[in-house]
Parts: sequence; C-alpha cells; structure tokens
Amino acid sequence: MSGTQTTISFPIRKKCSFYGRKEDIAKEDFTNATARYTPSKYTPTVKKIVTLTSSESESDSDIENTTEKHNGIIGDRRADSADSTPRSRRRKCNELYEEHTPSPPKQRRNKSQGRNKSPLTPSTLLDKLHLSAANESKLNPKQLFKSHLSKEEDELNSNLLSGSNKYQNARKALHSCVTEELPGREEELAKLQEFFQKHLEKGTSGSLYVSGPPGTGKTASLFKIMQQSDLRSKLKIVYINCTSMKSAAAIYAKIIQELAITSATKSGKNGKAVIERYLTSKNKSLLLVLDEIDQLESKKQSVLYSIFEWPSIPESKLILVGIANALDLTDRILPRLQARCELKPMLVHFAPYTKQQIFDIISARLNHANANGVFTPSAIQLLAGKVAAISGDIRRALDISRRVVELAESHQVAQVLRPTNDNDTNIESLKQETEVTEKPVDLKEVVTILNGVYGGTQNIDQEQDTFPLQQKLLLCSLLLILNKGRNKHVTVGKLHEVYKKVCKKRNIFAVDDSEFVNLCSLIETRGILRVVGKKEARLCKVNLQWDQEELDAALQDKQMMADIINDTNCL
Amino acid sequence: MSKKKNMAIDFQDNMILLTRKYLKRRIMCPETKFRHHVKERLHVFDLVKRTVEMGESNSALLVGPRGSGKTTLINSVLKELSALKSFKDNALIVNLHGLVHTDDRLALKDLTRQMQLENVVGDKVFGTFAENLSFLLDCLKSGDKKRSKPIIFILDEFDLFCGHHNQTLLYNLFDVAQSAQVPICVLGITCRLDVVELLEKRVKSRFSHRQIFLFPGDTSSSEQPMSAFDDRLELFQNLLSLPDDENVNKVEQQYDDCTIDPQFGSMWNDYIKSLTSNVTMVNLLKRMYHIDVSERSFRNFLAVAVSTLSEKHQKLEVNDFVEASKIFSEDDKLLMLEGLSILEMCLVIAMKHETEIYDGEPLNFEAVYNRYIKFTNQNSSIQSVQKPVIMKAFEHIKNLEILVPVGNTNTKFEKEYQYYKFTLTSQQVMDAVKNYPGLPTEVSQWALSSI
Repeated sequence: MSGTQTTISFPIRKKCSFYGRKEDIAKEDFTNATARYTPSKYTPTVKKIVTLTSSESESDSDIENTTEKHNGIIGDRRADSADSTPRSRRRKCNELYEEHTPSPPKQRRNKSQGRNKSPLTPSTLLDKLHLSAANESKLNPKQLFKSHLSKEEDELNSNLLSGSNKYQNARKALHSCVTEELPGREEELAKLQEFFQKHLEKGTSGSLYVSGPPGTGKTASLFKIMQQSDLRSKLKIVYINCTSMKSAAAIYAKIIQELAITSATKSGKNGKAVIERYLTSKNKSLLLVLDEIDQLESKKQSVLYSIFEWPSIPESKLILVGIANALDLTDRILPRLQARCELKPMLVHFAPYTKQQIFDIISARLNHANANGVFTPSAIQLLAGKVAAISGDIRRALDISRRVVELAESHQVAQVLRPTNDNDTNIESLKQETEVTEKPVDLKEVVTILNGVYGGTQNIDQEQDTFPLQQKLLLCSLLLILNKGRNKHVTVGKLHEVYKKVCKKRNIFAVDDSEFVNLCSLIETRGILRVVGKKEARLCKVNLQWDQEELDAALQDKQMMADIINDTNCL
Repeated sequence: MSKKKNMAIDFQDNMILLTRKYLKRRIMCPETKFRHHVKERLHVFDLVKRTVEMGESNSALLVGPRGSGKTTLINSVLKELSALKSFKDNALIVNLHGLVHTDDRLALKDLTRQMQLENVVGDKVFGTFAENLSFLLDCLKSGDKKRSKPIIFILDEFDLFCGHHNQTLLYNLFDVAQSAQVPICVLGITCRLDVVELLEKRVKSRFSHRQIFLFPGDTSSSEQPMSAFDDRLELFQNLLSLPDDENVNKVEQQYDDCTIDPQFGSMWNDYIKSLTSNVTMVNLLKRMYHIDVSERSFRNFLAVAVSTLSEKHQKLEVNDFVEASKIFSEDDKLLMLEGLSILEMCLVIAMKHETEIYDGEPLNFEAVYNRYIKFTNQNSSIQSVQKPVIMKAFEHIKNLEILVPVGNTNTKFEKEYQYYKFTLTSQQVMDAVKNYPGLPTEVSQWALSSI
C-alpha cells in the first residue's frame, strides 16, 4: 500500500466531534449550517488526510450505495429542518441524539427494542428513500464529516432465519453475551449494591476498585447494577473503557465529552480543572465507571492519582468505580492513597469461578434456551472442572461448550435419521442414551485439544509422518549434544558437525551448510527450537524450546532415533 | 513431402512452447483449489458461514509453518462462499496485513476505508486516530445481531498485530466478537505456534481459543489415506500433466487460450507417468522431501526444471531434474571460494590451519600473515608478496563475510590486531581446494597437511 499524504485546508473546528452527542451541538450545527452559506466566517484549521490507494476495496460497491443513500436521507432531514423554526429543529435534533446516544457496549441489546419504534430505523429510512433521492447531490464530503449522522451499520435487508434447531438454540445461549442474571455472583452483587445504596442515601462520594482475573464477570455485574432504575434516575452514569484511549491524559477529554460539559475549551488543555469544577457544581451526582483502568498508567501516575482524589474533593458528588485485573493495583502503583483514609478506595475482588459456579451458569443458560438435553450433567461437570482448574474464566468455559455443541451437531448431521425436537418420552430417553454415549467423548476430545494447546504444544507423536526425516535427525543430534556432550552451549555450526557425523555413520545423505540453516529455521517454525542471534548463521546459538526429556521420550520410540541419541561416538 | 515434414516439426515446436507456458502457469500460480486439510477447511467454512447466516460472532487462529497453505485455505473458503448469493449480499470482508499495517493507526484507517464508513469520502479517511477508533467502535456497537451486515476480518501475519501498543485493535475486535453487537468473525493467520502466549491476558480471555493447526504434508484427512511421500509423487504428476482427452473441456473453461492438442497431451502425460516410476527420479524426490515438505519449495524446483524446455530440448529428462535440484542443494560458500585469487585462497587455508590448531579461537591478521609467510619461505616456487598486498587480500576476505569480527570494537584496535572468527568449516575449505581450477600443487598439499 502506498500512502500519499496530502494536506488540505479543512474548515472544521478542532474539538467539534463529528458525530453528535453533546446537547449543545445542535446549536453548533446551526452555525455550521449558516457557515455553509457564508464560509468566509470560518477560520480553516488544517486537517490531515491519508489517501489509501489500494484497489481491492471495490468488491462491496453495493454497500457504498446504501451508505450513500443513508446520507442522502439524513441530508434530507437536515434540509427539511432548515426550513422550520430553529426551535423546532433543536427539539428534533435532541430527540435524534437521545435516540442514538452510544451506550456502553453490552447494554445495547436491551435498548435496541426501543429503537425499533424510533423514526430512524433503517426500514423507515429505506421507505423514505424515493422521496429524498433528488437531494443526494447536495451533499459534499465536508458536510458529511461535520454533520451528525446516525452511525448505523449497513443493515441486512433479509431477515435471518430463526433457529428452530435445538443445537442452534444451545449455541446461541452459550454465546458469551451478557444475560440478565449472573449465577454465582450474588455475594459480589450484594456488596456493590450496598456500596451504591450507602452513597446514594447520604449523597456522599466514594471510590471503589473492582479487581479479578479476566472472565469473572466484573463488567457484567456492574452493568447489572447500572441497569437498576432507581440508580439510573438518581445518578448520571458514565462508562468508559480505557483501552480505547490513546494516552492516559486523553481520558479527561473523553469524560468531558461524555458529560457534555459546554464550558470546556476546545483544546481540552485544562480538562482536569473543568471536570473538577463540574463535580463541585450543582449537578446530579455522577457515577463514573472506568473499565481496564490499568491502561491509564502514566508517568508518576499523575492521572490515576488525580482521578482517585476527585471523590475526596469537598462538595463533590462522584462515585468512582475502577475495574482492572490486578488485585493489588491500588497498593502497588498508588501507594500515596494509603496515606489518607478517605482516599482509600473500597476493594471488591471477583474470585475465579469455581467448578460448581461454572456448572450452574452453563446449565442456567441451557435451561433458558430449552436445550438442556444437549448436554449430559456429567459432561458439564467435566468441562466445568477442567476450566475451573486452569483459569476459572467463564468466557473460556462458554467457548469450549459452544465448540462441543458444534462437534455434536456435526455428528448429528452424519447420523441422518434422528428427531430433533420431540417431547415424546421414549424417544427422549433414546436420544438421551445416544447422547450419553456420544457427548462425553466429544467433550474429552475438546478438552484434550485444549490441553494439547495450552498444557504444551509438544506432541511430536501426532505429527510423526509429517515430520521430515532430516529434521528428526537434526533434533536427535541436538539431543545427543545436550544429553551426553560436555559443552551445553550449542551453535548451529557445532550442531551441523555432529549431524554430519551421525548421517555418515548411518549412511544417510547429509545436507550441506546452507540447507542445514534452512532446516533449523523450518524446525523453528514448529516451535521446537529457537535460533538466537541474527548475524552469522553458523555462530548462532540453538536453544531447545521444548522440554528436553519429553522430546527425548518422543524420539526414543523409534529404534534408529534411539540409537542416535545414545551414540556418544558421534560427538 | 518435405513441406509436410516441416510443418510437423513446427507443430511440435509450437506445442512445446505452449506446454511450457501452460505448465509454468500451473506451477507458479496456485489456483484456489485446495488439497488436503479437509477437516480444517470444513471448520473454517462452517465458522464463516455461521457468522454470516446465523449472526454468530467468532474468532479463530490459523496456525502453521510457512508454505503450509493457510492463505490458500482462506481464499478457497471465501471463493466457495462468495458463490452463494446470500453471502455475497450480506458479508463484508476486511483484509488487514501485519506487514502493511504496522501500527494501529494505519490499520484503523484502512479498516475504516474498507468498511466504507461514513467518515470515508472516496479513499480518504477523515479524523485523528482517537476519533477514528471511537467512531468505529460506535459503529460496531450500534449494530446488533439481527439487522447488521456481518463483517469478516482477516488478519494476515497476526503475530505482528500482537506487537502493537497495548494491543488496542485486537482487544477491541475480540471484545466486539464476545459481546452482543455486530456479528463479526476474526480470522488470524500466523506461522508462530506460540502466538497465544503473545496476547495480553485480557485479550487472551476474549479470544475464543479456537486454533486451527495446519501442517504441510498432512494427508491423514484426505479421502483415501496414503503415505505422505506418495502424495508428493501424485502432486508431481499432477502438476506436470497436460490436459488430454478426458479433461480438455474443463481446462479450456479455465484458461481460454489453452490450445494444446489433446493427443499430444496424452502422449506427454504417459511420459510423465513413466517418470514417476523411474528409480533415480523417485530417489531424488524422496531426498528433497526429506529436507523440506512444504509445497512452495517443491513448486519452485519444478519451475526451474520446466523452464529448460525449448524447441531444441523437447522432453523433460531425469537429468534435467537432477540439474535443477543441484541449484537448490549447492553450497553458495563453496562457489564463493572458487572465485578467490590464489593469494586469497592461501590466506583462507592459513586461517583454516589457525582455527584447527587453536581449536576455534578467534584470529587476527598478524597470526594469519605469519603462518602464510612461513609457508612461502619453505616453498621457493611461491613468490612472496608485500605485506600491504596481503592486507588488501585479507580485507577482501573480510568483506565477503568469511570472517566476522569478535565484538564491534572497530576504532579501538589497529586493523592488524582486530580479532575475527572464521566462519567456514575445514571441510568446506578442502572441497574448495579440490574444486579450484589451476591451484598450484604446493598449495593444495599445504592444505592437506594439517600443520
């Protein structure tokens, strides 16, 4: 891809976000609209544009069309509203933005039902299509960039098939999207609830730090709490995932944007001061949730310190919640908080799920989808036990169970004649039986795959035939040096000498120098070796990545390899 | 009569040229027809299909050594799927390459462009990195399972994406794949087996741990099981065969300019088939197979052999293959040594002695010079040259990287006393001495005598 960079002057205010979220943007939009007619009022600032000259993207021209149509419609709306009084337009716009305020990720599903009724659903947009076709030409790129388009994805025209299959239901239920209830997290939920209630009643501010390994339901629990209506009405809720921040200091700008503070300067220089002013002013108290807060680490942790100090500002009404993986993050990188009692955040730890909890979650999900026949209890037990032993990560458990369902499904396809959804008892029991014989096998398969992948990649036996002879000889020579040699420091050159002796003794064609280096790099791609050093191939050090004894055992199986490994004469 | 004969020869010549063209295209442009790995292919196929049809979100990694057909697999899956109308209308494919998109900013720009989001005008992407990222995420999050177009992300050289700052892009992609948002399918292609260890723990937790391993030469999943080498033989025959009576129609649909006479084709095919039972040929192939099982190097080897075809040379002999294999197995260091002058050769021999005597210790110019002078003093027939000339020869050898400096202390030492490591083996030097044309007998004897 050859990227040519051109710089054009581009009349846009620097801090004006190009999709509307702030309420005051409606006003700004209005000025923009006038500016279209009197462009001289605007001081152009420079925008950088990267042109990507790659020819491969034209495969989806139909998509381009649909987006253009969208734009056309929205442009039409704007043109319409320009005729009406400013007041009505403003109301209209507000309505539009409220409808499309991007909400935190996993909340979306609940909201989407409400959106179906909104005037801007894609179907209604498409209905309007004929009316607005004439206006399409009015749109130009700059307008497009400035205007507050609803950011709808390209929508499907056809409705998706609703899954009637039991396996499909099970698979859908086991997808890791968030459900309504969180089994096994009652205790933590109660703790969080208590914390919020306490601060809500007194109107005080406080901070909370939630820790736990990934996949233990931290974010999901907080979302559940945030869904509660009394909390929603009394608090202004801001959720920010810090991984999408470019730098730690960018968090201030993001918070300002989320709070829709009007008085913020465009440069965002003194964002911190603006937020502090907001906190002490007469607003609704604020619930600030910062996910993956350890991404905000900065020099001297100034950003994190100032954020955690906000609740202690007198008169401030802020409930701060930080979420991260490390249990001791606040102690380790924020030791100064220990100094003052009121600064110290309350800690809630989410322990990894136990076997029973994983079992409960999976069966609860299957119950919901009316698909409990898909798994035998013992199969879930085994799966839960394995995952709980390794990490206690519910995402992984759900993923594995989903893959087991897939496997079972493919088996089912193979056995053509089988009822899928029948409540007749004897057929049910028959089905149960077949699944009892079939399921646990599948499960074991998956678990062994997982163990093979995570426990160690070292199963040479499986690839016995695909492993070329010369590469095996090379490994044998390496083992010979490592096992019997005096000097454990192995270079490629030394390995080659031993290898050549081995080959000569067995009367096998030995590859020469350059080919040998190639062989080493081929084995390296399998992850058995690592050749350290770059400059001169022969002087590079060869490190064994696998466990020496395990490799030894794997190669000892074959008679010839065993002979070579034990043949000290070749050293 | 003579004219007729002439025409026959012309016909034959023409056929050979056509054959060469056809075979070369066949060997060098692997079609999207995919061999073996049936199970793995089905797995990927199902995954992508379910993403598009059911609106599931998935993520998977294709892992295998270089040349094991990872990209070919994806291409064949996509080709087969794009024949379906429902797929072509609904799915959106986004290609990213780790070598091109070296940081998240570039990747994001191209992502936005390929998805044709609303801040794209023509091929230009507006806005800064942070704006682009939040815009993209808002786009992905505002969609849902039912109504949005499924997106398939293909990340080539996936391990390079792991080196990006905070793995922001990967985190966000996998996060979308894990939550109830737009259905997306993230397919990573990589040759590192330990790629999961490169992921941060939060990214790792969001990845579905679906790793699909591809190993070259794995024939276990094909219809009729056969040994891996038999498969290689079959590939050999397959790649070199021409369209004959049976499959001429099929081929002509593929390439419209293929006008090979079917009769000639079947003759050629019979000959190729007889090659596969030739003992020398089979041994040669076996030896190459033992060194490298990947298909790409095998194709390269065949291309060299096929390009020897011409009007004068109308048949592929076993000898041609042997010659072609020599190119691949030749030692380039030996060739380099044959191009040295006699003085430089003498210095190389002196270096060899030096390393043998002192068991691989580093050497400097003075030591080599002394050894060489000792040799010239004993043999009157070799004319001794002055020290600066020898120094010049020494530097020439150094520039060929037969010597590598120990430690990079270029300025501290005089160049006579800088220590070097000798990178050739004594075996290589001996081979070079044997092959060197017109080397004085004293020199070759000196090379043989160990001191």
